[in-house]
Amino acid sequence: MGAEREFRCREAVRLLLLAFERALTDDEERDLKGHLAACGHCDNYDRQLRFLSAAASRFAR
Amino acid sequence: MPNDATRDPRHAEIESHRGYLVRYALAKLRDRELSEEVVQEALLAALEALPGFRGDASLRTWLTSILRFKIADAQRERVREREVFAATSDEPGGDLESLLDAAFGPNGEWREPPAAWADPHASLEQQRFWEVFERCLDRLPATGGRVFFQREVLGEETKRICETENITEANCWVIVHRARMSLRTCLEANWFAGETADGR
Ligand SMILES: [Zn+2]
Repeated sequence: MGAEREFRCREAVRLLLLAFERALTDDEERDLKGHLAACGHCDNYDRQLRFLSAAASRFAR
Repeated sequence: MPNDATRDPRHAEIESHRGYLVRYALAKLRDRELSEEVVQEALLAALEALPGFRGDASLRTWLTSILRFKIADAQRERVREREVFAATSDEPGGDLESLLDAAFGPNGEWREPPAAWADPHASLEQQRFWEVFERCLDRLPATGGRVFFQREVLGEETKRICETENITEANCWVIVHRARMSLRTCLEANWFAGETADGR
């Protein structure tokens, strides 16, 4: 691995939101996956955002 | 009225879709009063056409298709009246960073770490959940509510939504994200807070 930097919850959530807008790069994807596997809070947040999208599209039916 | 509702059980059911339909109309017309009028017309038309409704589509889908015609009429009418609805965004979009600033402390840590929600998908089957969901949608700022509804409920292209809202795409995304985050907070406070208590 190259330049190691601390990947914080804030960066994880930035990527979670950006993933709605565009495909993440491989690096971003890797950083995010790594963080989610280690961080229960962000993992909860990820699940909750996905749930919201599912609920919203269900709302139209 | 309860007496009307007992005539055909589907009358009451139709009424239960009013909130959704007003939101749908609002996303297209951006005028609450006009939206409520148009929905009223659509529901009256639906009641008349109800005997012919076979239930091939869901009731909501069927009502929405009737509403679409009424919305198109209203839009044509508006063009005829040459009313110019200046597209203004009524709240600043800000940027992604200011959105994150609100959720995270100076060291990039959660201000309020998200707790797990107990079995959220089971909530989708509960009528009460949808009531809370609608109330949370109502609490979003006007533009946020409209953009979120078009993007996430109707699944429309963000690019198109931004064009009709007359805002930049970047701004548009921030508005959707802000709506997403507010909605999450609202559902957590008004639905999942009670749910998680016994779920863990
Ligand atoms: Zn985290």
